[in-house]
Amino acid sequence: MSIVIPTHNRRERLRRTLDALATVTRPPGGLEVVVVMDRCTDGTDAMLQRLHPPFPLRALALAGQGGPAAARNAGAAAAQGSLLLFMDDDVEPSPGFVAAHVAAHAAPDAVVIGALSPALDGQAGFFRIALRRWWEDMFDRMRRPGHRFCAFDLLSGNVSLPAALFHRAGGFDPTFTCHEDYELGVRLMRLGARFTFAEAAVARHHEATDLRGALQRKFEEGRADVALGHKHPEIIPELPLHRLWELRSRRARAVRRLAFLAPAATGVTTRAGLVALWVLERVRARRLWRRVLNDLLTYWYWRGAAGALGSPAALARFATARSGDASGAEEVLIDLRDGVATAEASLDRLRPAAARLVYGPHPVGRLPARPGAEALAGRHLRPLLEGALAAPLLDAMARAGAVPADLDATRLRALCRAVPARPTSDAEPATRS
Amino acid sequence: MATAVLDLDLSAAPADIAGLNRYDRALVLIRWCGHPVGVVELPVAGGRLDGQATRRAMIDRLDWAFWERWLRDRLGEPAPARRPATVAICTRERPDDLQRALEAVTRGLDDGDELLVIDNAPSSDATRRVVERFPVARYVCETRQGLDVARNRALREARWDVVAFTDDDAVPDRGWLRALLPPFADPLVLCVTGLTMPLELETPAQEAFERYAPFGRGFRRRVFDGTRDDPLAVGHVGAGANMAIRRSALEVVGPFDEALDAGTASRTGGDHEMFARILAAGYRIVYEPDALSWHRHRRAWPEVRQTAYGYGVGVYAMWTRLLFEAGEVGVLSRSLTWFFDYQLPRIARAASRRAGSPPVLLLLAELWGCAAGPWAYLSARRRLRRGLAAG
Repeated sequence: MSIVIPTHNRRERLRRTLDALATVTRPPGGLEVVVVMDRCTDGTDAMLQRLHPPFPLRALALAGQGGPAAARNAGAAAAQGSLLLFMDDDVEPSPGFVAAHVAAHAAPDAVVIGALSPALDGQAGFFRIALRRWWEDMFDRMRRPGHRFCAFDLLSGNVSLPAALFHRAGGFDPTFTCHEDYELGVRLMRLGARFTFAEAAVARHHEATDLRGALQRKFEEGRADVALGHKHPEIIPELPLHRLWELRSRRARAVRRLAFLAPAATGVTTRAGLVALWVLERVRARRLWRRVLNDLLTYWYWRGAAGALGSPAALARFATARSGDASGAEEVLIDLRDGVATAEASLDRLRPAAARLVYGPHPVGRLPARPGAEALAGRHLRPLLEGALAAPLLDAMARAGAVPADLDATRLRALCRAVPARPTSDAEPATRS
Repeated sequence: MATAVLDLDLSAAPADIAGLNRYDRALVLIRWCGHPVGVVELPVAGGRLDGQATRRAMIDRLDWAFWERWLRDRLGEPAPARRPATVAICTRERPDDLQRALEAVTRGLDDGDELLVIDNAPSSDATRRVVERFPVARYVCETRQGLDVARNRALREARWDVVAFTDDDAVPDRGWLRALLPPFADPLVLCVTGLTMPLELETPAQEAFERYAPFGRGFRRRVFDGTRDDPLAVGHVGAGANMAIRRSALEVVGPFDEALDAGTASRTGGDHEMFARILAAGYRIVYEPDALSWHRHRRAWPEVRQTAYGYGVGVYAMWTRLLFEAGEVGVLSRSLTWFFDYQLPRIARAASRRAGSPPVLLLLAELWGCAAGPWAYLSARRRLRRGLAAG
């Protein structure tokens, strides 16, 4: 196991990370740590030389342009382990951290995403709550049974994968300075890597960003997502950019237009938003505060995208560009009348990109193909049947006479029709007649 | 005449029910394979209920909550991982109720679970003698008076991270504890509440109380999320007689406010104020109807009026705290909305003797309590501070 840590002028933080690594349970095959110093000028080098950790520690100085992607590539090239673990310099591992990563690699070609629990020391108030939830929600999603992993679940702050798989994918793309992990995720998914979430591989993440830092980050994400779409057009429908572009409310359009058409107003808009947030927090108007924060973050995301795309017309062309690759995916037919266990086994055997679900002759819904997402598997099915597909499934079962006769199937069908159909990205319920 | 409280499972064969001579109505909890899925009220004629007719009435009442449950059973839900937990009963001089509560709780304990009885400021050894009959229970005496003082003591004493609270006048169902625990697998969940049904409706006062403030919050699981739901609207989250708290919640949001709830001038509100703080901190509370408990309402009119008065006091005491301690100015508009949109129309309906309305005197007692709430809280605070200063 080789741990690769890129760092940029965070000597003390890095030292704490290495101190914590000294206390983790080491795997039987041994452990090495490769620190890649990305244009460090704060004496990180001297600190590393004074350190005598209980594991082999190598320090590389990155030459050239720099950036976290290039630093990780350089670290991976120098690493000797058959497993690579990428972690950031502000991440403090728990004692079982490395062992949990190693244990999750029992099957080949796994990409193991570890949990990060946010340690927020510098923030306060509503922003602190929002930031903590932003981090928690990311892992909350992956923790849910039946989560369908996608390329964007890959977070380079705490992830491990076989070195061979990393090199086969071609490593990180150094032209990305943000979302380089998502971009690698797309290529790994294409290679059929198996993404998994390891709750036990938990580390504390010392998040130091403030509200202005979060806005700057959104700007970079907007720019990076355009680059991501240019490199992998099939992924565009999955980008936040596409979802935001599809929003048709007057408010959403106003935020977008402001970002694209009045770049000179950036300072004024931001200051007005920050003042509004301050006032709303004073009067504890949570709902409004969240809306304003959301608008402000979206505004900065669009500023980043506008810098890369130029005009609203270019955005429209970008958002509607389709490679047609996903929509033509092959769909398998699954009959739920044979039982859920049989259906799960079929999905596990076939691993299709998309599936159409029926109960005998009656339609239940579709599990659509999603670009950048893993192929369908048996474990995805049950939560969808109990959730988004419950009404069409019960309706189909009532029509097929599969509910106990004295429980009034006619009323059940009326109840099913009253439940509004809510398609999600993972399941599209069939319309009920 | 009184209302019989019945507990019937639709998955069992229907049978006639006799011996209901004292009752003119029946309140039936409908279960499916043990899971509560609905409730129906039926007239009782001649002291008996016909099995087939009762079953039909139950089926007519089934809604989406039942069908979701039926589908989950049909698809075969994987059994959740078991985790040990602590059950805490906070009690004060009610040995008979406590005996019944302990009998019920011990039926639902598994190996490794812990059972605490917090005896709050006792004036006799009656509680201790009851607890001695249950070897699995651990007796803890908390000399400082107050339900929230006792709850904080329970959280400090508990061996496990999740502490399930039940009142001495409640009778938890056998599956109560096991049903409260699975939602805690989500680290954002700091509290889980359950379904509370009336244990008996033998007196007019108990029937009136059930119309006035039913504990039941429906038969579908609900997730309250602080980043989506208003932290001040905690009335429908649940109640302290049937809740479990993650002990580490204390580190995040602080302990129960010892100037609130029974044993203080504030009378109630400690549970709801904790719910509000959990939501305001951006965490989640889950309402899980499978966690069923039966609550014995007070039997006599004066006690029931006192309870209604206490609710009013507690709500306004809680709001006073939220306003002054947490700067939640939203309580001002909330109190107006509650008064004009809910309390006043309800009093009007009760005064015009609309069917199903609780007695107007109970509602007036609640209103009277609201007026007293802020002063009660401030007085409870002063007393608490003096008490702590005196050591």
